[in-house]
Amino acid sequence: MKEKSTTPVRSASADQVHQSLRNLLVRQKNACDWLGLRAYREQSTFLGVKNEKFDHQREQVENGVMVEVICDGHFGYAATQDLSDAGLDRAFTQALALARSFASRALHRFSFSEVRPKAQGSYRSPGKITMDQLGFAEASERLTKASLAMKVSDEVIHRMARLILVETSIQLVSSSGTEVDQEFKMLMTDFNAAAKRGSEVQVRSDQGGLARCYQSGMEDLQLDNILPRCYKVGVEAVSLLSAEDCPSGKFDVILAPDQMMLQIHESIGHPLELDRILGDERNFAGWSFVGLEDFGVLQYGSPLMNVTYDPTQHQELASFSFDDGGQRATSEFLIKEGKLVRGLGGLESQARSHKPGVANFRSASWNRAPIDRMGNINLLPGSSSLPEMVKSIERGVMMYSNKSWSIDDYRRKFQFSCEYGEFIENGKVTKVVKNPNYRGETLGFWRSLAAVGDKIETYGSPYCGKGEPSQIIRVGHSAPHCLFRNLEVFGGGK
Amino acid sequence: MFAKDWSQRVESYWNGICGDLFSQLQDSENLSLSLSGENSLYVRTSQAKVRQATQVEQLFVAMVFKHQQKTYHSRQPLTMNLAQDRAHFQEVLKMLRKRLQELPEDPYFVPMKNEGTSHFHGAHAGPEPMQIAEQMLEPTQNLDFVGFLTAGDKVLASQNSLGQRHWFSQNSFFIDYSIYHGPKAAKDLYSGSQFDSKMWEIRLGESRKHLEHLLLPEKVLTPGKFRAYLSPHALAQVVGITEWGAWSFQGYKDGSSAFRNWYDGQVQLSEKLFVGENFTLGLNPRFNENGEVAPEKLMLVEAGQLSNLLVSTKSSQEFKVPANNASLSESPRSLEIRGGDLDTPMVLGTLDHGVYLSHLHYLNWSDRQTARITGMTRFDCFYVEGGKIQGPIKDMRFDVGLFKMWGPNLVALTSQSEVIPNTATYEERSSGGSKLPGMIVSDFEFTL
Repeated sequence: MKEKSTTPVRSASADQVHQSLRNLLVRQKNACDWLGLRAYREQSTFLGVKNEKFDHQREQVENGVMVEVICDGHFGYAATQDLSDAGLDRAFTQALALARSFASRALHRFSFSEVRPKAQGSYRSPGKITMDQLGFAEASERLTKASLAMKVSDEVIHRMARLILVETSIQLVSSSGTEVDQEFKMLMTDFNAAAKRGSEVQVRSDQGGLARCYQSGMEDLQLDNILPRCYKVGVEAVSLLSAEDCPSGKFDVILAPDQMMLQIHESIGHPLELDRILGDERNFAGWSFVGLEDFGVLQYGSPLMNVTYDPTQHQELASFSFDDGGQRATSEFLIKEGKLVRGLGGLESQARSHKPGVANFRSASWNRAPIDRMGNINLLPGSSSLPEMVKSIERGVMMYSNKSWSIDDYRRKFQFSCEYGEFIENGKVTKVVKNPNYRGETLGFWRSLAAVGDKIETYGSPYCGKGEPSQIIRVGHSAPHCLFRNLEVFGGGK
Repeated sequence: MFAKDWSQRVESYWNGICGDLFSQLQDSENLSLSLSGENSLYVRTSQAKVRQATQVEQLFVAMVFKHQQKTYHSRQPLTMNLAQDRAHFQEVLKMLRKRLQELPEDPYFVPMKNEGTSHFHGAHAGPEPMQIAEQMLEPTQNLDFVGFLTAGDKVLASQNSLGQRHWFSQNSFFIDYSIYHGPKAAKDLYSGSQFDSKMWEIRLGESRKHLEHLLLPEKVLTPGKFRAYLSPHALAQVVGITEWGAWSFQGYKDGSSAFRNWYDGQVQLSEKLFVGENFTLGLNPRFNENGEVAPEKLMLVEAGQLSNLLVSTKSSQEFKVPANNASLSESPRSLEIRGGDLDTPMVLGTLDHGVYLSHLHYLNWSDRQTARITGMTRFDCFYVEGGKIQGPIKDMRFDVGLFKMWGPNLVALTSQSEVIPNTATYEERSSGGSKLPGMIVSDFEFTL
């Protein structure tokens, strides 16, 4: 479970920012109905080794404040990097002007006590070791060894070993008494290999591109774990060169947890976002086939399907104590025994829709207003073992690691492809197949869920896009292997 | 809050900061500084009302520090508060020197060069962003208008310690919008450097007319192959997916480019197809994030043959091929597909029987090795019979081979093209875009 600190988590420089925010509150809180400030600092370090040679290093620092103002029930937002009193005052003036100017054209009039409650607390993610503590030289050395482990033959023409370490600090203060400090350390790794024979190229990775991303520090860059995984990546890339193309037809399919992640994300997470259902995303990411009337009624999938929004999971990428609207984060069922019970909407969407939601009102950084985002969306384990599932299949395909994804704007018709497939005949895995693809429609797909595995694996993505202006958010997904009956499956080709 | 002289003030401040930092360098140290910033108003609307309005003022400095065959990259905020920035960048410079020591040597070290000077400042043509927002909303009140306004200044600049100085600034806006009727919507994009309320009303009127076609009975297609017209916006979606490494020389070498077989000459596409980078469109400066200057025009495809890929200086060092000063990602920044000989008013007649695709959605490679693409139809897409629109289609999934679509299945390109700015706003407002014609193709395959 998450580690809550009982002492303040702020650093000395964060204390200075906090004091500046409090000073602004004192100066300006009577000039509007409500004033909230979100200070956001993030340092990201990117490091990569290609074909056992140093490839790239980059660091990126974000540091700024979003000023949020409510006037006549309408929000105005202004973002600044100038954290001096003058800079914050200027941003306040801009936010106030926007709130006032558009109040008469507001889509919804909010009560600040309803959508920005007093929140107090802190959160610190479990990661410990920073890049400075481990050192670039040591990190590069480990990545070089990882790259070498993927070189299982001369046919492996390209090997990339890379990591991203992110350290984030978010402070919320508001005129309603909010005082929230949250600090995160996140390590994301990616190991992939391309193998070539003639004109054929096949790529294999360590559970999919950057799928291994967790709230942790450099202490998790351990060669004991990494090298066997990288060796397997290389071996499987080469094995795909000899594999037959995935056959076409209707087959039973077992999706491994690293593909379930994508399936959950696209066909459960996005359609359940309340702001999408309310129409905010219609010009960009899209609407949803789910309507407000469906909550508590719609049979989304088979009774084996239990899905939660859970920001309390240890090390999962989108764990926290409070969202950016100040709602305390709790674990909630979205789908229970196949029935849709709750949407993904923060306090603003809950006020607009009169539906229950979750603490998912999140922004990508200091320069964006929060919107409804996914966090940790998890499919709970069932009672089937993987061997039992394989044994139950007469002709089928097991698919691993997402390679390509596409779904329509209402989140109905999807098509996904995977890196690696295994053909199953008469209850046994008989051969490797390449370019496994499948397509289907969301409700029919989830209703065909026939077995849920008893062991979960957790992955995530640092890159979920949405919103106008657009925002990238980090999400976590855990799931077991799952068996679906009678899907439309096909392979590659022209 | 929308100072007309914002970009000039930034330029003056930027010159001072660069001078400060260059003066602190020691012997044989080199430093390149690239600026990216904006002072933007973002207004998001739904049901012709404002959902969220945000003012964002931000500047970032990408620093490339080179010393003794090593390179350190750092991206830092620039606050325009001189005391804060001076103190911050002095600390950053110390940190760069310390951390550079820890890095391995760069095996593909690109020595810094003076790539000359350039200066472009797009005149502020007004009106102010807040006025644009008001004028945008005024004629939409009886519509289910869902839109996104972005307006304000954007700056890009690069200087280095060898004397290179490039500056690019422009004030622009775009309204990316759709008008809904039930679940169907007409979509369009109005953009430029000078918002004109009369032109806006004309554009809205055209969208309303488009919406009338959407009120016709919906046509549900059976999966199969169709003759199809792709509008410039639909083609932009296809081009967008090729920007995921297809034009990259690095991608060609590591096997991730979907155009590998095309570059190897194993496929020959339509002789009607001419594609190139064209910076005369004015959407993007020629200098990249390292200040390296690309040719004003670079042909990539001539008469269906892929003659050039995009090569960064890094790839040039690694693979010993000439660079064309592409960006580090080796993605197109100002792509143009040359128009053909089909007049746009003749599109429906030439299409005759088929589908008119105004917009596509969520494209991805379904098989990158064979350049096969999947995606969805979206917004105002129609079924056409006898050269006339019969009604909107129910959204369909397609799965097509790009080498067929741009090869034997390419029927015609329109003579009129459209400049489509990049409307992406992840992290910051993008620059760049493309200039594209419409395209008629045969055997466009719907699968679901």
